[in-house]
Amino acid sequence: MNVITASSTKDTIQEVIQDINQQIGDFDTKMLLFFASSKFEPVSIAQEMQNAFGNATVFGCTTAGEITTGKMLKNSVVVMAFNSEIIGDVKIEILENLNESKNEINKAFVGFENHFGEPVQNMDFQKYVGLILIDGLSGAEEKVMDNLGDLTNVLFIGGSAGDDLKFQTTYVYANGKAYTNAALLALMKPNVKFSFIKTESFCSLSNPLVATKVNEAERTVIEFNNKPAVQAYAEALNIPVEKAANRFMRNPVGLMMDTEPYVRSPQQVKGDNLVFYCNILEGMELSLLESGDIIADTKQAIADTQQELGSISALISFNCILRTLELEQKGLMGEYGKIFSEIPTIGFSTYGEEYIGHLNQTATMLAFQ
Amino acid sequence: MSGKIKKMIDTIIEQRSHGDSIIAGTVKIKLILKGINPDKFTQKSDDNPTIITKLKQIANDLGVDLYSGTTQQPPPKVSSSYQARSPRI
Repeated sequence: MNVITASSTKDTIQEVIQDINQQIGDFDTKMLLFFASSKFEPVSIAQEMQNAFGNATVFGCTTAGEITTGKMLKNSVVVMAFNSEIIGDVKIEILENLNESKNEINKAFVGFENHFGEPVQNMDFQKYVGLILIDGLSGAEEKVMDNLGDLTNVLFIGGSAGDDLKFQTTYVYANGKAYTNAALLALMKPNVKFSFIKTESFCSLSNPLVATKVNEAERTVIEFNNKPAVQAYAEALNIPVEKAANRFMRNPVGLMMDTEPYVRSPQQVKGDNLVFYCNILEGMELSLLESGDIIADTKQAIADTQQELGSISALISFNCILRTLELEQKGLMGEYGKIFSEIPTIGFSTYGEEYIGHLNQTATMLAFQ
Repeated sequence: MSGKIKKMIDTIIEQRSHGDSIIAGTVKIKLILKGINPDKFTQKSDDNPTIITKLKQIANDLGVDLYSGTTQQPPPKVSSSYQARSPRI
């Protein structure tokens, strides 16, 4: 066994670490990933996790709910320990100032080059893979992902840290420290094959919405199709404007790559404008989407990847909080957790998902053979 | 005039993907997320100057030389100020 998962719902950090230590035992950990409820004091948990597993590369972030093999949890800490059979090498870099993301990424890439002995620009995207954990309240995800994608063909997948729906502060953890307004990049050189899962449960309706006026910085669409955004959205759904907000979760919009959406979810109506969880650029043509069956679609995505890899020995899952809330509303949390009961899994409910770009209402996952 | 945008998009995808179909797919997604959907443009599409300007910027960001005549370019190097700190390996 090349990975071990552990979880704890104990109340204090000391109890949690003791609990997790017992579950991991004397496993020879090369890299330890953890996701922790924001109820745990951030500076302490960062320090204590590093102290407890100091021989490994330890990193993680705060969440809006945790995922472990077969279960969706709350107020817990979940852990995945990897040995060197699966993770040949890993290097962590922190982007501490997301307002200067391009410079920060340049610095991080020098760190990666120094560690791995080759420029990230030249790395083989089939031999290296990146994880990104980023402050979920920074609003910087699009820029960071865009900058990363400009500079390398190595793919970074991940999620935006949460804080249990308090929307106050989120943290990423590494080097025994807690960072906010920051992103963590973990560049890995696995010794096994890996694959990506991006799954969302939506089909495209036939009503295109073109963003004709936007405030990109505020993630706000002012006009779709040269009409007030909320009016155009409501008209496309054939509903009164007053009921538009009730349909956000069921009917987000998506940038279409063939038949596959890259989802942008409306957050709120502000006057005649629509504020999104993800920015929309002026001129973008979006499809109105209709929600489907999260359970069936996720099962299918996992099955496809199992077929591709032969088997999955470890899965890191970043599940949008809006998906989690929908599952909760429908009483499907247990059933969703069971999808992962046969696969060693770690994950969390995110404030945004990262895969090539910044996404909403999606689950992104990294699967190791 | 028409067709320039399609040509620019094709050049970006070709140069950045090194002929690899998986990377080419990724570059297409990157372009969509940057606001340019490659499938919306053909040889007959008008040479919209706003989109041409945007594509020039995207090409620059992606390290693609639209006028080099070469077909394969690696991603752009990190800025020289940070390169200078790298030890020789």
